[in-house]
Amino acid sequence: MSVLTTDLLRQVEAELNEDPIVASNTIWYRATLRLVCDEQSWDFVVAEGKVNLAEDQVSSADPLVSIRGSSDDWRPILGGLRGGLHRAFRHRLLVFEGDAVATLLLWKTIWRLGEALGEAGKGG
Amino acid sequence: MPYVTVDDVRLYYEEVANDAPPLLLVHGAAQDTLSWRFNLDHLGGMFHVYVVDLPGHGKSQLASEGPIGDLEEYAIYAERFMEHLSVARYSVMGHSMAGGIALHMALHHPERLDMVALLDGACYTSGTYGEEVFELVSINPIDWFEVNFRTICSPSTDPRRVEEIAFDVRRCAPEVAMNDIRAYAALDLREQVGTVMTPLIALHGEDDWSIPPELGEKTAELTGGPSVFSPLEGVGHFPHTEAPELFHRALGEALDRIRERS
Repeated sequence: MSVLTTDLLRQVEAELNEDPIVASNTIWYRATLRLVCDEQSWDFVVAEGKVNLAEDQVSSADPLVSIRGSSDDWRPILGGLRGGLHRAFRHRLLVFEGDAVATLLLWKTIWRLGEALGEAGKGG
Repeated sequence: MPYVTVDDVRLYYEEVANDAPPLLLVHGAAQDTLSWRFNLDHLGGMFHVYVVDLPGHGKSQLASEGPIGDLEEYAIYAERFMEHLSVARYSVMGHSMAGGIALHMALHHPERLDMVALLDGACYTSGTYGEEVFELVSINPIDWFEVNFRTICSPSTDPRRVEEIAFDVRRCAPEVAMNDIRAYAALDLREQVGTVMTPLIALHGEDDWSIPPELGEKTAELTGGPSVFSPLEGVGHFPHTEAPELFHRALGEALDRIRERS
């Protein structure tokens, strides 16, 4: 069973939408942030300063950024690994794919997403 | 404001002048003299301190050929800078990538150096910067560097200090920051560092996952001369900014130990 769950990602969504760093970063860009864990995936729609967890996989013209790994790969992020998703990129713990420009324009949001996952993971 | 011109590049520097032995401070990637702002008063009580902005950083001019992507080239600028000031013998302390610069200086001119001090520096890297990282980072280096700097501080560091560190990196030109990490990524002096006989101090934040303490410790082991490795608890990649008092205390103790061994 995947370590990422819809319930956990709902907590992450709420956390991200209260984060001023995310608000100031996402106000300028539109993208879909897809998290893939084992065989499951979840999409966060980023637009107009908000991050919304979609019920189903999103099909849109917005650039797609995907972060992929197994449950084992995601577990350290949920455990609050220092550096979170930023470190996961540098240390190649997870696979970052998709639109490279959107990835880097949303780098601060991706960093905060990792922090929120760590918080939600600890709470869970 | 003091400047010297080295090979047609105007370099900014600061100085705490006194009769004590000279010490050159060299900042890390995407930083400048400001990174030593909490340390000059203290270090000025022990050393005649020179702090320089490397080419393209802070208030120093960019080299005519553009941003520098080679630590050895930075080392030559630092050596020429001290020559221009007529300082024949001195110690050098380099933070992060400038640990590599200081080691190049020790390899070039051991007769000039009394001591090399590495602050979260090492003679090689942990290999986390591949070409695919550079390709992606080059799209938006400043945001990427800011996140990098924020996350490599210790979780226990005062958030105000983290903000100051983030402020430092936002001031750096993106192309200069990119070339700094390329220069740092190419660092590997493991084969040569055994010939360094200059006394060496390696101070290292225990919470630094970017340049892990093991690399600083290994460098101290590999060097040919006397060495001291000192890990700093509860500190990340920027001990001199995150915890200046702890850094000053650890430096004082390390200086005592290296003098006993030299």
